[in-house]
Amino acid sequence: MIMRIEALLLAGLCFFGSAAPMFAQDAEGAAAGETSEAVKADAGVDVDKLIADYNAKETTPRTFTAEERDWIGRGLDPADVDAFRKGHASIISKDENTIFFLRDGVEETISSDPKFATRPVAPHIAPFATELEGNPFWTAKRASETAKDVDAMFDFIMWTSYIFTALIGVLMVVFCIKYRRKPGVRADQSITHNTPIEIIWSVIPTILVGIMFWGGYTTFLDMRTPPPDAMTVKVNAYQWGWNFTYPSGIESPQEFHVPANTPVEMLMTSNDVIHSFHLPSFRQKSDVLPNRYTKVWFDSGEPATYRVYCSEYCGKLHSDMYAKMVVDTPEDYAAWLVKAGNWMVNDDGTMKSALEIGELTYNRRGCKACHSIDGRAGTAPTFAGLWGLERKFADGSTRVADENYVRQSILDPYSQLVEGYGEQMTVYNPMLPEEQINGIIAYLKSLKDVPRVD
Amino acid sequence: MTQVDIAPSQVQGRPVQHLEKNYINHSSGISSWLLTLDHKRIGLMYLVGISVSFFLGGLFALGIRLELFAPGMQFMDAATYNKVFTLHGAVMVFLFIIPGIPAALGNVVLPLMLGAKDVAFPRLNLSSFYLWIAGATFFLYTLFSKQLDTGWTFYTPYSSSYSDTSVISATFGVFLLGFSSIFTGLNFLVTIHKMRPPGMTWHKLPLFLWGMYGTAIMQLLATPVLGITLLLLVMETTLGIGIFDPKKGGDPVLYQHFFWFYSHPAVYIMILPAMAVVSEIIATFSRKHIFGYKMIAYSSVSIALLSFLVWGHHMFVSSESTLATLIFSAITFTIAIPSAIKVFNWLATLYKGSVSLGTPMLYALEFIWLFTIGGLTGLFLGVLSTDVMLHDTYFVVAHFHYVMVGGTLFAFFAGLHYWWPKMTGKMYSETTGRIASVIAFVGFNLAFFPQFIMGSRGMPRRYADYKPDFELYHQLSTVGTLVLGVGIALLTYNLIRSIFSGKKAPANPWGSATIEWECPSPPPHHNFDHPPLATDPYDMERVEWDEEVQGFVPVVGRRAPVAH
Repeated sequence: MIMRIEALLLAGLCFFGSAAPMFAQDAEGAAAGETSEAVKADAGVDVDKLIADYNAKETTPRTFTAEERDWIGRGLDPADVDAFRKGHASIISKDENTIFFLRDGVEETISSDPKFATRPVAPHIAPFATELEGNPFWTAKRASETAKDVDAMFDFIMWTSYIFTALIGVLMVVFCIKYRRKPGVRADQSITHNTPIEIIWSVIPTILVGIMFWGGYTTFLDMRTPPPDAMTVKVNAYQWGWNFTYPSGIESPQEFHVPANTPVEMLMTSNDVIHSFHLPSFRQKSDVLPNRYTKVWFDSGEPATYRVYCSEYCGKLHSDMYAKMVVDTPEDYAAWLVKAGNWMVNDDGTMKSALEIGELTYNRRGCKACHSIDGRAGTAPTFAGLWGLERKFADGSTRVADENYVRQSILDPYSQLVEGYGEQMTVYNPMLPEEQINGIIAYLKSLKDVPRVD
Repeated sequence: MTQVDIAPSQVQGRPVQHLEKNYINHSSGISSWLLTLDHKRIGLMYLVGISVSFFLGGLFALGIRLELFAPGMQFMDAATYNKVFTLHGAVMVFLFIIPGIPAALGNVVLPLMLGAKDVAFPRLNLSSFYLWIAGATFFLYTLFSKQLDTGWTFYTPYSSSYSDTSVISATFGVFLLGFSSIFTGLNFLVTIHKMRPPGMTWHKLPLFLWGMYGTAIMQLLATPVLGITLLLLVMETTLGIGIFDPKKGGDPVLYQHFFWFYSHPAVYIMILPAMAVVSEIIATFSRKHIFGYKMIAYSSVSIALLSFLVWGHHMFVSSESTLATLIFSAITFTIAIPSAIKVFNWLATLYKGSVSLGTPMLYALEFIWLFTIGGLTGLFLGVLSTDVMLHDTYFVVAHFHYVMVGGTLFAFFAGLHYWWPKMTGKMYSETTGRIASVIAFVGFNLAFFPQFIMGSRGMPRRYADYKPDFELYHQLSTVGTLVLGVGIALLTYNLIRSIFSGKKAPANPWGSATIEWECPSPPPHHNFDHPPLATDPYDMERVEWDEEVQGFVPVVGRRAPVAH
């Protein structure tokens, strides 16, 4: 109901969002229901066959509820349904034609618009979209109890705003029409002030903003005070990525997992400029500063996947600085933590090769943001063809790029800045363990023969 | 109480309406303009300068919106986008909005409104214009060297240690523009204090002058802090003295406090003159005494003073302590009240008025609507709990565009159309003016309303690229920008055309009772033949419509009371 009134208020400006499908359904009435039945038949999805195929591949076959079977009929494949149920996939947003969701870290799109679709789709998914989690018109999906308090205040201010805007707008239009200039009619010059009215229209807004201020402050205190039993994840932000460190010392770049229904405290600092940890679904945010720790906390809620944004402008790739947050069931979380701790180890327990570790390190640690491997120089020199090259430094001295040069460049980069480049690199001391330095060296060797553009 | 005839020099019973020999052609040659001490000529030169800046800033805005039309990079790379949004913000704020109404319109109108020959310090006035030119030159240098990619806020340590663009030349430009602003403020403050005509007590000061007075206080007291802050930034960058960069022992949040200690009052430096213009226009076009004169006047000054105490609300999520957030949030709400009071007073002025929807009035009414939305959405950002999620998102972008563009720019257009006949002696086409105004209004709402929605749904600001779920809002916004651009282009055409083929303007085309309308259009070099006497500036019945001159003339026989 509330959303429909909002939609009506905004109808003049033609906004869609989640209000649009409601409009469509209201307008078409019963016809909409018939359409979705028809589509199901047209699509010709054999749900039983899909489920059978799925179970044939899986080690532990599962049964699907009637609701889930309906979803499959409308375009999700059984693996998707399973992922949603386990919280490995979650919806980022959706509208009448398109659902954007994260699944195992990959952003996927089911859409009737071929421009967006990343997978084959059923031709019409709108009825399906409205059945999944509701997405309030104004705000991102809501994920925690604190977020509810925030949204309650948001709604209170929003309704206050609607009422005042409508009041002012209507009075303005009415006065302009009713008191439009007419020949022979003079303005009433006696109305110059009216103390009672002026007091009333000063006091009422004062009371309203007083309520807003106090309500906002008390919720803010809750948002800033983590419970004592919160688990702590340490966050290092850098240009342009995130590194997450767990109490056990396990590190995970660009992605972190937390167990469901657990209070989590993020203890954050930056390696370079100011960043900001922005988690819209939890209504949480804090700047991440280079010279101190800041904290945010949230109750992780049900299994789902969320996008973390950097919301403080931090330079060239600011708009690519996303991280993925996954809320896991306790079992999945424990399994992920083991996997994250053993990322340099193969499934059979043997160590990965130095080259494999090097390539993974290059992608995980943010090297790739500045050092290209295609030969083009960017903010930093390219890795292509670097091995064995004579490097010229700002002070005129030179050095051949060998093992010791690379090692020193990682641990103490400003001691040997290549001519033409500034002091921009993250100092990976003591962040980078020995295996990964060796990996980077092996990786550079493998790129020895890639031609350089500069 | 003495009764004195207030009419200026009269020809055949009517005051002179149009002057062939006026301040524009009273002397000729380039140096008669470049070295002029005439406040009206300086105002016109400012108008040309800020219009060019506005055009430049508008081009950057167009670049931003076209790039954001679709997800993925269209025709810029991320580094270029960062420069474009920075230059858009910096040019619009420092070169256009801050000097816009005070320096361009204020310079022309303020002494005329006082019945004075000029401002208190004409040479200082010219020097502040040349400081503006010098500041703008540094910006041009920045544009043609390595540009700027720090955002208009120059946040450290990105600006001092990480950006490899022309931060120093840009900050030095802003430093000079700051002095231009200080000199203008000082000049206006002294002029209003010392050069009011007989009869103009503080409670008979037109509300435009109250607004300019509040603005001048802020320009004078806040701008030096910006100057010092930017000098510290330059010292850190060039001499390596650690002030803001933690690597050198500094504190980056200190910079934010310094910066917003200026830049929050600066928000009101931008909006107070706008409110001042609107107060004049609403009363004039309603042919009615302004409602709640004292409340509007005092609210201008209280906004000016309170604006110094709220800077911390820009740092609610920047590690500020909860005690500090409590205090800054509370004071922030106190400033909402005087703003609301002004809106109610304007509405009450329309009540039982004789309202005519001339072009200036249309812009003023649009201002009320847009400023209401801009002001109310400020509540979301002043409330601590909701600010956390909205901070640094497009919600903030939409909010300050509603205040600065929907507010200040629309009021600037209102004032420009209002005083255009006085400045140029020409009437523009009312029909074209109204059409342009409505187009701009529709375009503006379409451009910025969707940004509220995408912001509250999580879209961060200053993003060169975005995820496809925000595409619809970005596309609406881009279309709106183009419509707004069409409106502004039509407005420009209409005004420029009036210079060449517009009708001659009468002395008082709108029926205002303030003094600047008593001299002919355009005014002579010396403004007034006889020093005018001031009465109640909103005694609209002092003037009446005269069919023959197509303007308003003083009522014959109605004598104005003069205060002792």
